[in-house]
Amino acid sequence: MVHLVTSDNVEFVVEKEVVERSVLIKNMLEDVGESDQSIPLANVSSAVLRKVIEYCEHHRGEPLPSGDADQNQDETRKRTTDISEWDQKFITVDQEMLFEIILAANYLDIKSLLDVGCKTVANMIKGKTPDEIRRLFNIVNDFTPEEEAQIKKENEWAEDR
Amino acid sequence: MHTDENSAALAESARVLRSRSNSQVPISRLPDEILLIIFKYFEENTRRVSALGAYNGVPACLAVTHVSRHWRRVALERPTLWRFVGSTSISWLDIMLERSQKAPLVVKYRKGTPESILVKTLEKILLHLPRIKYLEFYAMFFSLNSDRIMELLSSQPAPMLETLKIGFEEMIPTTESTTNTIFQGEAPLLRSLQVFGWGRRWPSCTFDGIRTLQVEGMQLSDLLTALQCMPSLEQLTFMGGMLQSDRPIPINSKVTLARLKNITLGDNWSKDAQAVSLFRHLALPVDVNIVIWHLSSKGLQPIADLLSVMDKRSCGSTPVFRSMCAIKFSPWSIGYSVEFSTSTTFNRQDDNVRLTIHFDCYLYVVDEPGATRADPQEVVFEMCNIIAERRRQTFFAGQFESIYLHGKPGFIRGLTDALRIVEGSPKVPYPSLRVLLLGDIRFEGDELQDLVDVLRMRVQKDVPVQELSIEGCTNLSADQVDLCREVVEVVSRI
Repeated sequence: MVHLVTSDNVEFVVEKEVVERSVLIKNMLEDVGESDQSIPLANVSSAVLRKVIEYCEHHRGEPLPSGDADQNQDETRKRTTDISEWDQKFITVDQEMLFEIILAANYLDIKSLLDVGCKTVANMIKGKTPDEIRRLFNIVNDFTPEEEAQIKKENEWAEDR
Repeated sequence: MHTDENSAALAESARVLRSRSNSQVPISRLPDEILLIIFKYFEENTRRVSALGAYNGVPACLAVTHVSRHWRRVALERPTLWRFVGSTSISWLDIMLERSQKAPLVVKYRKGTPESILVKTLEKILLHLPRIKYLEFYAMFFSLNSDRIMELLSSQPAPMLETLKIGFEEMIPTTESTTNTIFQGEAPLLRSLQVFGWGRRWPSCTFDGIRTLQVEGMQLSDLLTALQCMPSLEQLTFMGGMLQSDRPIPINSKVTLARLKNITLGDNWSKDAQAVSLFRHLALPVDVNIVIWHLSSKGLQPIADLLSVMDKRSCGSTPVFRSMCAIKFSPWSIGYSVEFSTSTTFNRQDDNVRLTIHFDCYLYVVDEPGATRADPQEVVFEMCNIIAERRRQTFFAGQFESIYLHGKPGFIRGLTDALRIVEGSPKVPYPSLRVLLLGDIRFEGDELQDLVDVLRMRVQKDVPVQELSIEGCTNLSADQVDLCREVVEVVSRI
């Protein structure tokens, strides 16, 4: 078993097979060997880690992305925005939590979870206008007048088609 | 300070505040590299939807560049987001070529792009030939523009090109100009080539790394010359529509395709006698998989002719077909296929189905004068005869140990006729047959009784079927299944 301590000082005891879906933790365990010492995760809160562990539990035993994928992510990352049914339900959370899960997946180096999060955001903006995307994420238009002019021109080209 | 300057300064302050406000929203916690992954998925998704029909030539990633300064900067800094080129708008084309910087380009122009626009866009795109990875376009007319297109294709080497798909709607005979200069003879990564209406002689060395070739509308002599220069070819698809050749081909000349794994004939081939000529001049590996699409209204003679010219290996060995499988397609596609395997079991994933013949029976074919709708029961088993009886003593030498039929009614009557031993005749059809697998077939009328009678006769002639599976078959009573057990050693019904 592996002991993990979150940023809000909550300890989780997780099976090694489950927690090793995180490449970061897997490498740590390989470096330090068997130990009862807790691993501090300063960037992950307990609420987020609970979700991450739920994901890792569900996907335990599945093959991890190969090392080659790291070398050329653009070419080898799974070319689809499809998300499995379970993953879709899992990632149906509010925006705050969604982004926290993405950040945690990135920090812990869990590629498949990072992909699920990124695909979810990509699906959220699919088919939306820039205005709708702004409203979705509470972003405001901060373009300079020059940039606005360029964007206007680009929109005209798009309409000319 | 003037009022205008004041208001400009105020506007800029407001804009800066808006930027700061953006930096506080939850999504801004994501670092740029994660935002890029999201954009990449968004781009893929938008492009995939566009490919289904809504393509309008606008870059797939345009929307995200119009959201905020931060998003725009992140998207513009990633050249790979802009490498999929297919716009007919020169403005967008310039933008894409600029924003993609040095990224390998994927250039895709669909059928139906007006030729004047196509040539204009190709003029720009092919300046970037050295970084094009994928190139696909179709010209509507083979006019004077083809010479210009060829000039452009010959203007530079194509060191990154992996896939080339070119089509010209209006076929013309081969011109005397050759394509020796295409890509200046340098396309070392080119592996996949698809051409129709090419109308050019092929270069001797540029295409020597090709693994996959699909052709339509060429002269046979040109195709054979091209194949001679493709020693690594693994997949050949021939769509028919061969042009009449003006140059004789020596009867005994053969092109050896030693690495060929699959050869496919599209359903136009049987209109074209030159398909048979093509096979006469090919030396195929003995384990090549052959897929033949065939309109059933053409009868089986074209297939018999085709099989008759397929070559044996020089050592004289031929493959032995151990099993035959007939499958009725789903109701919405009117057709069925017959597959011949060197194994007694069928597993298409194992790639062990050596010969697959798909029969298509389109409704319009039925409407053609003189055309009759072929019945599966006739076609499938006549096909078996062509193969099993080694008609014309050629490539195939099948003695089936196993026959598997799957699908709607139609096959059983043909099967019964095919297995029947005619009283007084010395000929025993399918003497090696031991296993009969029938799946998801609804038995009609006396079909089962007739089949059992034929199987009984085979027992008497010492050529029994030893195993019968009727998995998923319907309209069968328990008594009828017991009847089968009287003549077959193992009967299974799940």
